[in-house]
Amino acid sequence: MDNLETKPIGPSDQKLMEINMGPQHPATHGVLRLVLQLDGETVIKCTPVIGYLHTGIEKTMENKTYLQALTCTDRIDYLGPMLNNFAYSLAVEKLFELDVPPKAQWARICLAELTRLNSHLVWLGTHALDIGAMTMFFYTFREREVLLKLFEDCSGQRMMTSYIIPGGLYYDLPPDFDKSIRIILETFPSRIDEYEDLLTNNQIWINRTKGVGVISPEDAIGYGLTGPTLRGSGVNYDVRKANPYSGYEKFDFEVPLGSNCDCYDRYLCRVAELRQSLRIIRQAIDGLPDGPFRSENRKFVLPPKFDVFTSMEAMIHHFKLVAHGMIPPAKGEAYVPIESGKGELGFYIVSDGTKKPYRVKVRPPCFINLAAIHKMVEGRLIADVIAVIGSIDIVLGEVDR
Amino acid sequence: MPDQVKLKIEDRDVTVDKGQTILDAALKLGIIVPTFCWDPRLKPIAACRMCLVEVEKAPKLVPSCAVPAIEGMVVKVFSEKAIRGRKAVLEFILSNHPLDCPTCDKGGECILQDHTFNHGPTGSRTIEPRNRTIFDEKYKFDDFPLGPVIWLNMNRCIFCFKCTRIIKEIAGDDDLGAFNRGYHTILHGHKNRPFRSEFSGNTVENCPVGALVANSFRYKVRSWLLKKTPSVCHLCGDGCNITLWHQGQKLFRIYSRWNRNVDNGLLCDRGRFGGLYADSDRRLRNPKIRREGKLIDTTWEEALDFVAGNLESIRAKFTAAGIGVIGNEMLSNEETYLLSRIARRVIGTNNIDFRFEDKFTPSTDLNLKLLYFLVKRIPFSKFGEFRNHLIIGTDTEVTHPIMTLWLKRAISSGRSKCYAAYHRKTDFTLHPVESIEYFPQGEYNFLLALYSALKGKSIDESALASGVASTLIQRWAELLKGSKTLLLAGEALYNNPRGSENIDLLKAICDLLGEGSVINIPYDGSNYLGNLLWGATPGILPGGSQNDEENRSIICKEWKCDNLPEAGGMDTSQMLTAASEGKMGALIFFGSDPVGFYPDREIATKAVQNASFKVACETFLTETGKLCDAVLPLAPFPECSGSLISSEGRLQFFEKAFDPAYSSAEGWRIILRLAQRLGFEGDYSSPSEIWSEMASIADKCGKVDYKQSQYGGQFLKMDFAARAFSNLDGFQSSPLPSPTAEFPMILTYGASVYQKRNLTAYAESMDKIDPGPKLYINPDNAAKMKLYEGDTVRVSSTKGSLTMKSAFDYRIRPGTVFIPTNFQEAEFNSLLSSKSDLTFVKIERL
Amino acid sequence: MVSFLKTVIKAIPVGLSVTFKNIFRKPTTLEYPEVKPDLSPQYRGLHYLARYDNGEERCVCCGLCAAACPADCIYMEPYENERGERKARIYIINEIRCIFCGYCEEACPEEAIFLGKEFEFSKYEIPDFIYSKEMLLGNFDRIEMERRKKLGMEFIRKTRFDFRMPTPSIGDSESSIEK
Repeated sequence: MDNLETKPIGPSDQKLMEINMGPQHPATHGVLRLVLQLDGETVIKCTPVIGYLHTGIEKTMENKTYLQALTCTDRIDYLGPMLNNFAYSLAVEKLFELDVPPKAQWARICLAELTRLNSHLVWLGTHALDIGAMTMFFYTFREREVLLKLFEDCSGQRMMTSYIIPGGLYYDLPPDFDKSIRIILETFPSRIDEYEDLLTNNQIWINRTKGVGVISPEDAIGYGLTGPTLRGSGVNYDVRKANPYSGYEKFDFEVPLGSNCDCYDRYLCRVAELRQSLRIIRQAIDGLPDGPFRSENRKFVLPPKFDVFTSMEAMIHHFKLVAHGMIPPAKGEAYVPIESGKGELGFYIVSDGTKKPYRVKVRPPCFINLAAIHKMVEGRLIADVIAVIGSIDIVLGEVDR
Repeated sequence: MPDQVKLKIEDRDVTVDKGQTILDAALKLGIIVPTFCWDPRLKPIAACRMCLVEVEKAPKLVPSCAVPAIEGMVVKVFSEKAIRGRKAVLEFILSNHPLDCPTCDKGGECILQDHTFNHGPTGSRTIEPRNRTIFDEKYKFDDFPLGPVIWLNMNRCIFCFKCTRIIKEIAGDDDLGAFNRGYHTILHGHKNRPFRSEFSGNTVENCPVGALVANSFRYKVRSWLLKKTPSVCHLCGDGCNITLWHQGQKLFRIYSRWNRNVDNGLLCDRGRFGGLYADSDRRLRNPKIRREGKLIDTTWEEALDFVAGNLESIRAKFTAAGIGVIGNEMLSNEETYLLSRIARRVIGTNNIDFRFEDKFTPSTDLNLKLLYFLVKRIPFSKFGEFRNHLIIGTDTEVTHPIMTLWLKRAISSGRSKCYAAYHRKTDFTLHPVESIEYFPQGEYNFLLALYSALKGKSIDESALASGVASTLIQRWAELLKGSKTLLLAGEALYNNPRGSENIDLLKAICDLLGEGSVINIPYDGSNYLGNLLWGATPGILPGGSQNDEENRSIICKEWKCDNLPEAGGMDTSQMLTAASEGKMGALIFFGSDPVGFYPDREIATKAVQNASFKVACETFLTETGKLCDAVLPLAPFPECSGSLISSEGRLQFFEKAFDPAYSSAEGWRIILRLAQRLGFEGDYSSPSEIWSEMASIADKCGKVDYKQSQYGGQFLKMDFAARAFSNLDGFQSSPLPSPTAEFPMILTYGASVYQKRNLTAYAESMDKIDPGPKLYINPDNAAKMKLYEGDTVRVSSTKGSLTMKSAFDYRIRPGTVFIPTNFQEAEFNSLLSSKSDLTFVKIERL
Repeated sequence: MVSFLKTVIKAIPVGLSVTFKNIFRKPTTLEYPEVKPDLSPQYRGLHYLARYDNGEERCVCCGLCAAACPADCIYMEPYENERGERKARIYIINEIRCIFCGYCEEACPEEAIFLGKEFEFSKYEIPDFIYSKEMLLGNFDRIEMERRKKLGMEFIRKTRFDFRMPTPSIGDSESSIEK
């Protein structure tokens, strides 16, 4: 069985071969194209070629009002829509100096962690599927279905939620929100145990991931990696702890860290994060305060529909806000990073004082994490590339934007 | 300084003139105090209370727009008390405002919305339904037409009275009033008549809420969807600055673009609603050429090849002098220049003119005299400096509505006095204006009488010939003598069989009046002056120089050609007369419609029929176009760019709002493509390229200082040599022919107040204001004929007869009737003859 | 080698037990065409234009939905009807551009446009997705009127001039619409 162990093989004098992995390869999570220079089966050089899913979404956002641009954020990282909404809303709120009622803040954290669960479940299913563990895919997607149902109950849509808006939430939380969360909190820990039963001690899994895609902590920091990809290398950096936003400082949770800097440790980190997320959700749902779900600041947030029909003042505010959009109080810029499922996600918004943002720049974790892929795969076998792509958890919608 | 006061606003010191208000002082500091009823052009009335500010030691908040600044005053605009006060004012206004934003056309650009959003409360404290005053059961939605072009919704009114004050204080009319008190206040015209005013559109533009809405914009589109393009109005010589609001290739409305030197943010209804003719769907869509006797649609390539080929063969057959070009005074400078260039250089003829509505076209000498008066011309804003204004031979309200507002302003300031002489009373003469009505075409006799009176000679004969009491002229002479006077000479003076003498007399009168007296010629037409300057007459070359050997050689050098056609060339009357006799080969009509407007329909029709080849370039298919061999669709002004010189002498540029709709094309492009097919080597990609070429010509040989002209509206410097004016000793009064027993009435004709030729008739709103042709007759004459208003009458002259409805107008001089020329269906010119000066008609009741 | 076999032998029953457990779990999948999904109350499907009880359309063509729409999929032109009211002459929603964000519903100041629960409206031709005013009103008449009646969903305003007194719980707009 020694031949199963993967050893780096040095370059021979054979002629090098260059092949394209992707953009139609099913294991490249979308339309990623990797130009691999191969010596036999060994990867000599790996160059990611991106842009196949380029939608110009930043420019699109610059041509929409602040509220309209929110719908674009759903489509950046389509596995974590609420996290994108969250990051964008925080940046806009900073720009507009807009306060958010406590109920919305707690609900946002709850929803953000649910989205992280969603993102990680998809990662786990597809990552395992890539490496050959097909069953995982069915289980994780079954659990994801529960989350998507909850998103639909909240926002009306399963994926493109646009639920967290500047100033609070788009709709009020559904009446059975609490109940649905409790069911998730009850069932999910045992399900996570099952995933671990299937993978953590699975020899095939260990063989495919352990020692594969190693990136040293120094390199990881040097390449600007964030999220579980960074923490798998043992660097303790989590935006929720390092730079708490929206009241994360009130929550008690741990940041799981790896030590071997390989795909397996990143896997362990993410699975541990699933449990930590559940912990945060439990605290958030227990402490969910009552009150308005949207800011009462009528200069930026639409008045309730009932007022619009009875009060001229509310009608005017409604009309102006819809027709002309939210207009920031002054020129300025704002950047708020959050910890998304993939790493540090932030929206940098520059305002020129008009109803549309002058510039929107997304700091996408996937794009930056992907930049380090050559460090992880060069000198390894071609099969390891699949495991590494899976372990850095990229979403091409976010890479290309 | 004793006439200045120093005060403190928001802890900042400011010094203002005595008598200025707190609001003026705040604006000087850049502090914006919200207002509804305040307008810099109007007297403050403090009706809305929106501008409340806190003044130290004053017991209550004070309205800053009406309280004069006092030495040592300490004003707080943003103190808590002031903010709360303004909030309360808004709450009070809104407590009775219907929730109409979704249906209101002002939604999105409403000042009430803006102020509520920025200064007002966010919610209501009362829960009662918002009150709606429905005063007419028939109109459930309480909009009702206030006048032909304006709808009123009284529920939305916040009683700032801007509308009534604009009409009263600026237009000087009492057409609109606010009646009843408080809650029951209602706006309407006097005696419940519909609200009609030449400036009624300004009430809509200045209404801070959606109470007044223009018919043409009501329920059409949301304002935030529209793009705005700066432009200049083409419908009269004032050159008012306008903004075109358009979406795609559709023009929705025209608003004023504030230019304090020209229009002061005001616009007449002709420009505001009539300018929408460009949006008519009755426009010419495709080039047409005549095949087998019918005009059929074709492509541009084919049409231009057809026109160019025919012109080539005509030139071979008739020589270049057999081709004539008739433009119109609405063409931009660039188009005129290009048209002049193609006529003189490419075709090789001097037969070019731009006036086709008058049979007495001024001669070259007279044109140069007219241009000479430009050297010393007075901008509108300086009208107030003159003691007297003498207006002769024009109804300024029709030809120059905005200039009339400046005159009214000068009168109402109390420093100036106006004297108006015309062959009928006008709207303007209803104001405190001395008015004289002479016989139609009695300008010469009147001027001679006035001149003689100023000289102290006997005036009996000439006064009698002009139809004015000699004592009245004597009185005017006494009043005017020695005072600084502005003489405004209308088109009736120079478009006259005795035009040259009239101008000589005017010059002599001007010299006899007080020091500083100036003659101003308010030209009729948006670019009359530009057409004169850029060579659209036979005798004047581009640049405004006379068509002589020396100037031709300069132009030749510029145009890189050997020679230009020798002096000579025909004006419109000569061209048409020659063509009607079959002596002309080809006629090119560029936006002109002689059949519809030349004051002899018979000759014009014959001319167009008898010319071997004729092409018309026009926006709408005119009477002339119907007889032509080829018709090219010309884009109207919102679809072109270029520059105009207003009658004031101001050069202004206008921009293209959108590409020409349908298959129409900009004028300069049509001329250029045609010229290229006729062998012209040059090429231009935009009017600005033509403009730079023009500037270099003006620099070398022109009388206009184009070099210093920047892209914008400024006063052109002009330098024309003095002309020799005739010796007046030999001038004798010439009695006019009197009406015969068979044709007892004198026919007068002219544009009506709201219209520009027949172009504006294509605008939807104009149908409502001015629905159709009418015969205007003095009620005295009508009573004698037992004629009632609205009766159908037949008007006949020796040339023909017309049938139309009659209308009374006491401003018409007894013994005359008036027909507006703006309606193509009326065919007013079929009554006229180019042979005689005056036309006599008889009226029969049908 | 031995240790490797040991782990494999240990892992197999653990993994199989997971599989075995899952045999008895309720599946989350649906037999879709036969069994319709249970949609949430917030679900946003095909648009409809509501009417007043007397059959008159609610939309006054104010343009706010078009202004709010991030996808620019609404086009409208107003006109004045025979009673002098502002109504839509043309009202078009391009359902193929629509992203079903629901901003139009939120923006509507007349309770006219809603996103219904209809999601099965696939068609073969793209132009068929351009819904005119009549089609959108038809959606209400055909599908949504019954559903609203069944669920007891009420409009805030019964008529154009209905200004009812606010209930004590102002501030909870959605619940009052969907109550």
